Amino acid sequence: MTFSLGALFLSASAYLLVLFVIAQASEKDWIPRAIVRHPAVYVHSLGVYATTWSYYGSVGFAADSGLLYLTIYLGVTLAFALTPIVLMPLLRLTQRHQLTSIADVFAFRFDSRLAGVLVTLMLLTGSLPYIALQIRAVSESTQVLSGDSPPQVIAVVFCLLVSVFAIIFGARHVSPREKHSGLVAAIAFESLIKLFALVLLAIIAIGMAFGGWGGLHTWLEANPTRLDSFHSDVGSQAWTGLLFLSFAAAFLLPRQFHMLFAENLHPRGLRTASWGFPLYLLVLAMAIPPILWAAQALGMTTPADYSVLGIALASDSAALALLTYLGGISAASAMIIVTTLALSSMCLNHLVLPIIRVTPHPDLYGRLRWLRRALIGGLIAAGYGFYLSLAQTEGLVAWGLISFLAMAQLLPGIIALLSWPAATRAGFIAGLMAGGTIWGFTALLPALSTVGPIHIAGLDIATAQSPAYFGQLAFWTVSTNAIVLVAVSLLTRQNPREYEAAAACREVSVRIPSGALIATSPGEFVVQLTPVMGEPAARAEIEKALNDRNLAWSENRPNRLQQLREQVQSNLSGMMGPVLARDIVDECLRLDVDSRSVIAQNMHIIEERLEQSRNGLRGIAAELDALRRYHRQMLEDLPLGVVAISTGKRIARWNPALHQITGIGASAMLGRLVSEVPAPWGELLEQFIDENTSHAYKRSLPLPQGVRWLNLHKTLISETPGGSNNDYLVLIEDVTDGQRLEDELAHSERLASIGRLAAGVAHEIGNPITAIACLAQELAQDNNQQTSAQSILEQTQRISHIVQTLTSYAHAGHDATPQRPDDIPLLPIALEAGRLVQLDPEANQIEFTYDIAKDMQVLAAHQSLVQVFVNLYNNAVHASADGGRIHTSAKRQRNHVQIRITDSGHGIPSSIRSKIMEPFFTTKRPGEGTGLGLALVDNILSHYHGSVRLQSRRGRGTGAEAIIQLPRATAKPPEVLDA
Amino acid sequence: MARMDSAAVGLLLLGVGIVLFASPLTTWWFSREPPWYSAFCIGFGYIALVAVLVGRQRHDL
Repeated sequence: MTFSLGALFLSASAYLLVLFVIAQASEKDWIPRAIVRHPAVYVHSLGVYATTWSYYGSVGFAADSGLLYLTIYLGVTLAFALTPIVLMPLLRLTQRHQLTSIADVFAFRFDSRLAGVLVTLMLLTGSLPYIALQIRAVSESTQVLSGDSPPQVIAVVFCLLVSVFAIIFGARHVSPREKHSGLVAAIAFESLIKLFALVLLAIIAIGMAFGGWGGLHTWLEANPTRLDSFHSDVGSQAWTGLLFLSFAAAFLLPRQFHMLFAENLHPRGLRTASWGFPLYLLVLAMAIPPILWAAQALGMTTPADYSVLGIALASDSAALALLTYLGGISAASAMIIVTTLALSSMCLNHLVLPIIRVTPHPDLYGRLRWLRRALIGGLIAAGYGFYLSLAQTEGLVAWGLISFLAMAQLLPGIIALLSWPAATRAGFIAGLMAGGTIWGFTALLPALSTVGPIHIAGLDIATAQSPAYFGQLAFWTVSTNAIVLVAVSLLTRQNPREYEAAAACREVSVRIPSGALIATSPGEFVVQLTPVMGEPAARAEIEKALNDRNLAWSENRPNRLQQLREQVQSNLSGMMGPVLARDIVDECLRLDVDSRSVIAQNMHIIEERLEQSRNGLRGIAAELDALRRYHRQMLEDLPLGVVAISTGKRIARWNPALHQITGIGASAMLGRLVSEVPAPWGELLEQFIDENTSHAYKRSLPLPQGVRWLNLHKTLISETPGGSNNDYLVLIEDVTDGQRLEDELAHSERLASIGRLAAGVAHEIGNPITAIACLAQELAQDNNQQTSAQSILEQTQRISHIVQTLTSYAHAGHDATPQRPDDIPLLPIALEAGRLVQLDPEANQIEFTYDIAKDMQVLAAHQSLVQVFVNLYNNAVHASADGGRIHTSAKRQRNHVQIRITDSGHGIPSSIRSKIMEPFFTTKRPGEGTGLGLALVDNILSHYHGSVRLQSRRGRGTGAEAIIQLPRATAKPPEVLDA
Repeated sequence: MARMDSAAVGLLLLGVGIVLFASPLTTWWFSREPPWYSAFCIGFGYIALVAVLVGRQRHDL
């Protein structure tokens, strides 16, 4: 069975169009986002690892080297098993610093443009022949199915369609933060097609060649040499070498790195991939031996590399043959698309932009996009050129291993990046050049050579390119690379920027801004970036960075602006590479390194960095950090407000106590100018800093809640012993409570004096009133004056009663000893207290009513209980409006009497309900109330085993009610009797 | 089983992987002519171990 070229051409084209539809459907959300963003899609997109080499070439590899082909999959399994210590840290690093390629990673780590250039060239050289290999596989597979000579037109059209797909769906965004969901979905779909085609073919092959699973075992038992040769290379040097190469390729191949890190949506996906992707590859690999043995059992003449197609043809199923063919198209197209995307990004950042430089452009993003698209087209064209020149070379495996070997040269650098911070730029470059040179001469050059044999150390390396040879090369090139890296690193020193980058790679970011920002607002950032990027791009970048940091255009705090600067650098890094981004930011967003307030301005950033790097600090650094924390905690826990003010009058520290005093949080204040602190605190601080005095006592501050009194202290912060940097530390002590207490005491003293005076006056008034009363009695005996005398007598009795009450109330306060409880009638006490309260003019318009049985008695002391009622009536009067009513009722409850005093006032707000019984709590203005009345009531009642609670009035209307519980007269507690 | 930190999990899996796939044990096992699918069974077992141990590192990753 053969196919016409036209049919194959149409099938391949239709398949690629399906990919377009899938990608478009994903981008347009026609496919639910939950599916497109599912970790399973991400895991399958990593299947781009399986190229035509795996799809077609693994059978040929297994035919030549048996189970050795499995190393290409097992190495990946080992690499993904190291997800917690290799892949996840790399993912965090690339996402935090927006590094889009492995070249970006090394350029960032070693702060070296040359490192980026070398890595890019190395990967470019290793990948282009590999791209050519895919084109050749498409061409040759078409030839196998059509039976014609290799159809160039198929190769050309395939390259064109793949280029268009990569340009449309892979270069849509210039920032790595915007993922290409359509591309990922399409590549995942291609992986599924590969897996489905190969597994289906293996099942059909077993049925065709052996009649079933049992037949395969019977055939293997009948041909023991097949199984012997299948296992012969296990554990050999080639086995270990290839295991190592595929380990490195698993995440260092440009396409793998791109899908793993640049297109990762969430770390969850990588965690799933740690087992999901090796599982995918193992299932794929498991299909290879049955296909191989089926081809051998059927005596097929198709080249072993294309046994997959041979069996599909032998099945006489056109659908199976086409599916198998499309599986190969999937493998080739996915590899070319993702590899060219990754390489185009590297070439743009490390080869093109450093040469053409970024210049102001009305549409910088558009320009970058088109540059990248041009690079994609150029790379695929270069791959096609290689394909034409490599037409004579044989085997799919060799080019794959040459590419893997190139990637392995980056492994020493990756190990250094993750775990050896002392590695230097010179060491990395020297190691890479040493390993790369050996790779070039011993692997690449012989493969490209079309001249006669090339002898090195007596070995014809042009013909020796077997898996065992590449296993040996893996050892020699990588070990040379690693030794040179270590040796040169030990002989050279890092510069500060390299040191910072090394720390950032270990997630120990202790980078401290080296100066104070000259720009004072995001608007100035735009102005400073405009000469390099053009105004639209500069504004767009600042807008993006502000959104990333959740800042506003009005932001002017230096520490926030420093963070904005870092975000801009990070965003530009994703677009142009880390080195160019840093150059642009350093050149445009300049720092004033002479500023004396750098540390104060950046204290917040420094502390954040140290917090993030806490687990990474070791030795003396960790000890110093612990000491720093201790000192900081001292300031944080100080019960005084602490504010540090830098030279430019910016706030560098604002502790929790100050937050409590002012009600203004540290996050809102750090970095602000003192003048920006909300009134009246800003004026207070500014005024105090400008004063000559270092201490100010009991400074009053009017606030909406009332006047506060503050003690203020300030000192200059010394930078060195004897020196200073004009930064101030201000301590604020809130002495309002103390001041209020002093005022209340003074007021109480005044009241006590008046009370004593009133008692004296009452005593003095008493004598003449007694005389008047006597005279009135005599007068009453005169019949003519009887009525008038009776009136005088009543009025003098009334005055006398008031004076007696006042005198006894005043005398009661002199004795601090609690009075002995006794059976006392309740009603007279309530009436007496009511009369006393009504002496106050404020209570004149309040109606007092009583509902207390005359015979009701409680166990308490007369004067103390009068005090309780007076205090509660006073509160009720103050809460009530004119014309209000205060009602007192009492009822018996078992051994207690419950007294209820109800007013018609404004009630008790819920916000103060829990505090009203606290001493010194008052809602009155200072000087108008002590806040001791209810506390005193509580104290007196508890002495007599009673209690009081206040609540808002239930039922009709507003108001409050005080509910008093007191023991009944007949229920004396023993201890009270003893007392 | 107590939760292991990321480094411990990574090193444990690397060690087990080397023992299974690149050690004298590997050579010895395959010299005994095991069934052809035994390598895949070992592979599946190893992947299951990775899934269990890395899955337990949910909060550390």
